[in-house]
Amino acid sequence: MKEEKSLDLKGLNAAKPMPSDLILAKILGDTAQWFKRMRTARDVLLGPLDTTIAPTPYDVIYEEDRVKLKHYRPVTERKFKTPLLVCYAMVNRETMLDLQPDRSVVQTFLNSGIELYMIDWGYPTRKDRFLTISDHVNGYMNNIVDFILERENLPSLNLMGICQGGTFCVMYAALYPEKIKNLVTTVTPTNFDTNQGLLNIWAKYIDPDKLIDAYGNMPGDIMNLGFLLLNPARLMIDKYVGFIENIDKKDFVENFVRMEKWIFDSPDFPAEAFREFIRDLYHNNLLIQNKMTLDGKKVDLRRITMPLLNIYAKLDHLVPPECCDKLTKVVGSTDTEDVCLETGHIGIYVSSKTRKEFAPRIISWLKERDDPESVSESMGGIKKKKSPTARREKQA
Amino acid sequence: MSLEEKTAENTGDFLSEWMKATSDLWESTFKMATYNRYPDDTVGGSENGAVEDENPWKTFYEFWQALSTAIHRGEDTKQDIIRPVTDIPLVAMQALQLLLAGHLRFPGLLGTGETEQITDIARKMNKVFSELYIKELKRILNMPQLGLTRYYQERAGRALDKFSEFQSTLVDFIQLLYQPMERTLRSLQEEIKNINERGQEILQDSKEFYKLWINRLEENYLAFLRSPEYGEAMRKTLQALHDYRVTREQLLLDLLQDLPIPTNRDMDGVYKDIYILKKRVKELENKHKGKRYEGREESRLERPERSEADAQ
Repeated sequence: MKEEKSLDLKGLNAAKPMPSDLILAKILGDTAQWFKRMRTARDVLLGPLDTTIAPTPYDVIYEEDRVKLKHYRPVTERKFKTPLLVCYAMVNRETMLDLQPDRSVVQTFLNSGIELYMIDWGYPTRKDRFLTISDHVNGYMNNIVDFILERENLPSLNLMGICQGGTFCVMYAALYPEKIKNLVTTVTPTNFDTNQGLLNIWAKYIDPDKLIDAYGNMPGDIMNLGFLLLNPARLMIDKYVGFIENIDKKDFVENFVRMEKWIFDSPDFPAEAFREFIRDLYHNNLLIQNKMTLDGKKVDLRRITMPLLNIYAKLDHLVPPECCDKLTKVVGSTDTEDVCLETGHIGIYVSSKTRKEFAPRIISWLKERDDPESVSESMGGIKKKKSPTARREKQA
Repeated sequence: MSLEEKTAENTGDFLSEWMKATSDLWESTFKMATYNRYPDDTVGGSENGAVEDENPWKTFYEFWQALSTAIHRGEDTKQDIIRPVTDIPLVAMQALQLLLAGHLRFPGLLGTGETEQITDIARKMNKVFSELYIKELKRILNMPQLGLTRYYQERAGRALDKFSEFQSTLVDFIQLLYQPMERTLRSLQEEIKNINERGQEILQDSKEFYKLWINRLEENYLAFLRSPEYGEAMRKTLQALHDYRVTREQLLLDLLQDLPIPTNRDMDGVYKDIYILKKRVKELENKHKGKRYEGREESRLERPERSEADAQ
């Protein structure tokens, strides 16, 4: 076998390509280089790899059924009076906020002196199939908030929601405004009446009752398959071609595997909550119209009177901007701010470009509202866009 | 010679012999196949390049030879005959490299209409099967049953019926999902033709070519996945999946009822009871402790002090 011979692609009949040829030819473009790469890749893949995710230390300080409350151990002196509770979506795991030390929203928050709590929704089993959205918002979330307030001896806390977890936060803030000092929503869908996103289009063809009859809880793997189908060319082909191309780079492989671990770690969605989410939100868009009810109580967004920071991503294919940008227009608060970042749904938290902007911006915004007199100069470099209300207050 | 070296040598000899025998078999198969198809041509050495290229046996034979060579590379040293597991990816890639080189010699099928024909045949076959199934088998499976075990037979027949329907719908769905792939290749074919006519040679670079293909594929998929056609196919598939899983569940209930295993239905009943009981306990607890669950209007500061036990 002549290992050093390059694959001669010039002789190919370029007018008659096949997809497998394209992929393989791209991968095997240069034989010599390829074999060298494979030898290194062998050492990389078989050698020690650090693919740990969520390495930041925390304590579980509250548990109720499958739900846990994480409290991250502070790494610096506390600089915020009000603690921050982060509520992640139930579709994937909150570990995404702490993928690795240099790509960790959690660590950025901790380094800034925020007292940080995070809800871990756990892995619902069949016994959780009867849990409704209300059980999560009025039950688990409310109990957790009460627990933190008790622990901190404070009347209210800062609440930050992520994706569908943000939708729960919006509902919670509308039902319990007195317990929330500031609300931060990130890539949070609140308006479902749009054709911008594929999920919104597909949801019209989905009968949640049938899916629940068939499966009980909505399986995480089925949802993940749906997410992959949002862009099969990139997510099922190009992504792995990229991996093969960089298979000899240890850092790349480690990061890639971390991301894979997170992406395919998908808990099932409790059946009743799934049914309500599809029917009340995707099909009937009740929340943004103030028509949603939880346990018979109306979720009135006008009751959200606390400051609201609403961050979303311009290139988000799961929760497109149109799903997010209506919220600030319908809430009762006068101190609201919309921030649209030039990235995607996950990139907002992990991309090297936006992670320098995303978490620092939240820190700055919270700091401003935590103790207006002591906005730290150490956060220099972060461009702060003050809300009209905040500006008025400053001028006064 | 140590025992280990002796064993390695024996195993190596056996492997060599086996590879050679298998190689001979493929060689004769290739010769026969070539002779049967093109009796006037000399084996493997046809003057007509196209004939040689179109022979799949030859490619397979070449692939086998490549694999054999890759595995059996180190004949000089007996220790190299059995290669470590860690070399498998390298061996595989060497074989793949040769296979690819051989494979790429085939004239591309796309654009010649052959793949479209194959897909079309597959679609038609599925359609014919579906029609046949609905006309004949489905009716048999749904025939009224009689006697003591009629309900069991009915459920078994229904499960089989829904399983077949689901398989058929799934095949339709997968074929539909493949359409953007075909569309991409067809449009790319056109584009390449135009580029060739203009005399440009940008597509000699496989990476550029791949980029072009993947971008076009992405565009086509995004457009397709937004279409009502896809939505409807997805709805039908999910419906068929639901019907199949529900009937299967009913059949399983029959099968499990004599075994000491709780069924999903049993467990769901228990879970529902637990859920309701837990809710009631929580309500009573809250009532008892004076913490009003619905105290949303109540200011946090006005709420009564909670004990340590409450916090736990």
